[in-house]
Amino acid sequence: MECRVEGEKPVLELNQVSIAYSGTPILHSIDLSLYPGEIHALVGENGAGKSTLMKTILGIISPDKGEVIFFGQKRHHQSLKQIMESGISMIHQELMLIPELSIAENIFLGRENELGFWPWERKKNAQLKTAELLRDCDIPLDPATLVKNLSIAEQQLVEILRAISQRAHLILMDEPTSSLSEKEITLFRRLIHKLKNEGVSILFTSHKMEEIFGFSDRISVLRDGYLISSSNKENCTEQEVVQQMVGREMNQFFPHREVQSGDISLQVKGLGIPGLFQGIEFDLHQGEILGFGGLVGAGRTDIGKALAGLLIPQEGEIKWKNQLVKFKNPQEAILQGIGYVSEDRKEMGFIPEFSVQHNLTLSSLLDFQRWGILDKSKEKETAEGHVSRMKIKTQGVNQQVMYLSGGNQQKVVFGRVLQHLPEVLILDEPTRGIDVQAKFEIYTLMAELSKQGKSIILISSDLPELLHMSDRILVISKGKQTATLKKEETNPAEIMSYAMK
Amino acid sequence: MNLKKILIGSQSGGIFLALILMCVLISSLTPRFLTDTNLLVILNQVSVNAILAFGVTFVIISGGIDLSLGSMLAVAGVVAALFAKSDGGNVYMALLMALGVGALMGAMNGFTVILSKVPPFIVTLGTMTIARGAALIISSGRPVSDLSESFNYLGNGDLLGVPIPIIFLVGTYLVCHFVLTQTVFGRYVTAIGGNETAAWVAGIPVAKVKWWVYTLSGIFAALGGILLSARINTGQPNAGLGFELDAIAAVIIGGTSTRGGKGSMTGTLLGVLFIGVINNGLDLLNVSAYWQQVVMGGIIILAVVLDSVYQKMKR
Repeated sequence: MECRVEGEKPVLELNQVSIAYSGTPILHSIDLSLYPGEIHALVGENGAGKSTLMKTILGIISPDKGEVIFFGQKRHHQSLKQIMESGISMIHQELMLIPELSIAENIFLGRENELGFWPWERKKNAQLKTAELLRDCDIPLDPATLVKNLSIAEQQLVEILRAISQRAHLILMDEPTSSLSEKEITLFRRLIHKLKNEGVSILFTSHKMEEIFGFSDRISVLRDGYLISSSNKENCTEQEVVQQMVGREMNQFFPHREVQSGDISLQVKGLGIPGLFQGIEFDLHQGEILGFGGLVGAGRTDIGKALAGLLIPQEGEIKWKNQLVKFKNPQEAILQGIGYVSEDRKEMGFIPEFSVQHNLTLSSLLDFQRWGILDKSKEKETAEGHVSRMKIKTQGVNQQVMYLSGGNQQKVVFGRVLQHLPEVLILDEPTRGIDVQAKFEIYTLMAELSKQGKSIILISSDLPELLHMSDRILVISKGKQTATLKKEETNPAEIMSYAMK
Repeated sequence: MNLKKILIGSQSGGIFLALILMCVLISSLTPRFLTDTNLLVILNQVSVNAILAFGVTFVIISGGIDLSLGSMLAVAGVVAALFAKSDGGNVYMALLMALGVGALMGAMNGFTVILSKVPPFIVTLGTMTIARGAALIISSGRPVSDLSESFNYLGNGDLLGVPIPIIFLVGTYLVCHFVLTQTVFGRYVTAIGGNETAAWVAGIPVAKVKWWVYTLSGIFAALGGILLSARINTGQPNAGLGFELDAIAAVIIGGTSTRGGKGSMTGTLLGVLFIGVINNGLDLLNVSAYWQQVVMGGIIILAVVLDSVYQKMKR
């Protein structure tokens, strides 16, 4: 083990940890150590083995070879309750809260006996302790609020609070910020530093460079199950980290794109749904990428849904190729040439048990049939075309989509949408939670589509992405359009100031 | 399809194996099991359950359930009998009316499920009671008898030595298997069961497809009712009590997921045969009717448990 601070012992040590799933190696002899109060970023593309490594540390998975040592003790496979009491807690990528329970009840779920004996006593104490926790962390929420009434970002904060309240010495966070907007990320940063000062160690994964470099003390890069490097933040650069992640030089993160907008394709006037958003107005040109900026929960997603037929606008009008249109459902929008990629990939993007092929053709199945009977060879041919063109990493077109990594699932969703030949694409957080390489490929694809004259609406909370990819940026705040900014004339600070207006 | 592919490659491998083992077990206990006549008897006996099960397989794959099968069968059976009386009845009219009534009841189920957003379990539970009442009202609570020869032929006749119900069984299996695996409709049904929201966002006419699924279930229940009335040569308002449970059990034994999104007609066929073989075996072994029920339930649970273990082992 390398010597770091004299006399200080690591909280966690991994010695030569290897794991294989049914013969396929996932992790190769990983050595890693974490010191008290250290914030450690674990980076790597999707499928590099980050989640598996975290689950191994947590104790859900036991290593095939090597050992995990926590506070000098070798860690074994244990029950969830034992894990909870062992001083390590984990914040999963998917939220693990119970929607029908309140914030307080969720935070103390499974630990109610700490709160007293009688149910009313427990309820009161949960309420008090949660209120205190929320106050400590400057989160303006009521402990009695039901989780189902919280936004995704607020739910994420509750997850983090739960981990804090468990008084863990080590907190593992699998992409904790993927659904947070800028404002909540600031809050999140404060939370982490509070924990650090209390001596808690944190191991987190993220795909966002600002966070990886902004939050962490040390950065470890994982690629294809190998630990490529583990170094102090000061000793490495963004460029190096990205390079180590992808294993090759990535000369340009965002592809170069010539702005060339043509005729107006989509014209929106005074669009609104009471309670969600109102007075949205813009013209979208052929070949243009129009960004939607703003905080999470500002109504951007709802506007996207209203344009794609998922929500029905109550006010205003949408003109599509100079014709007034009113979509009653997504099917009508698709038939008119509107493509939609949802931010909620799992819930709205694909059918998990369907193969890659069946997902790819789902929106355009009528092009693959005669009298209702499927032409499977044509379908297969098309699917294989998408897989090779979009570099979808899969064992074949018959692989079920649920077994693909996030980035590849997203490519399948893109493939499905492109297969129904849309002229306008509405992309809601198209690169959330996917790896650098897949992100780059999706940006390249967007650039290519706009070159073909397709119009794109890009809804994104990732400011660099929004600024690099969009030609114009529409900023939404609390359901209202607060600014329309030209790419060359604006900067992140200006966007944020309009977003918080 | 070779044997290995059936056993390892398909979802139905476990139940296929179980069916073979059950047949081996029973034929080692009694010589009367493995004879041409007995096998035809089994097929003939399971035909009504099979037809109901094929229909409800679509419903279950779409993520729904239909508990009104047995009652819809009774209504259709009575209606068919009323139009197939030996004095002045017309078989074609009887078929048309019975199937039409089945389609109508299924369509009502579909409408209610789509428009009210009430879970299909509740909707079809209601229909189950309503339709049973309707069967009793139409028949004034009495069996409808004196049916025409040609109607009787549907239940008891044969074509080139093959009993008509078995022809219906094979025919409906082939049609349903084709529709589920080779058509746009089948793909849509499976997609809706897999993730209804994603299917809707992907542009699938979810409401229309679901409506059709329940309507089909009604039509298949009616077909079952026609065959049953023809076989017993009466329209019985009390026919088909509990048939929905046998059909659903067969579908689940056949490996169709109760959560939807996954399933096959071949699995359902094997599930139906599995239940049929056990019933027949217990009859041949002179097990009392009371004990038959106990054994049957135990074997169904065991079969599903073993199948889930088997599916895990395959991974």
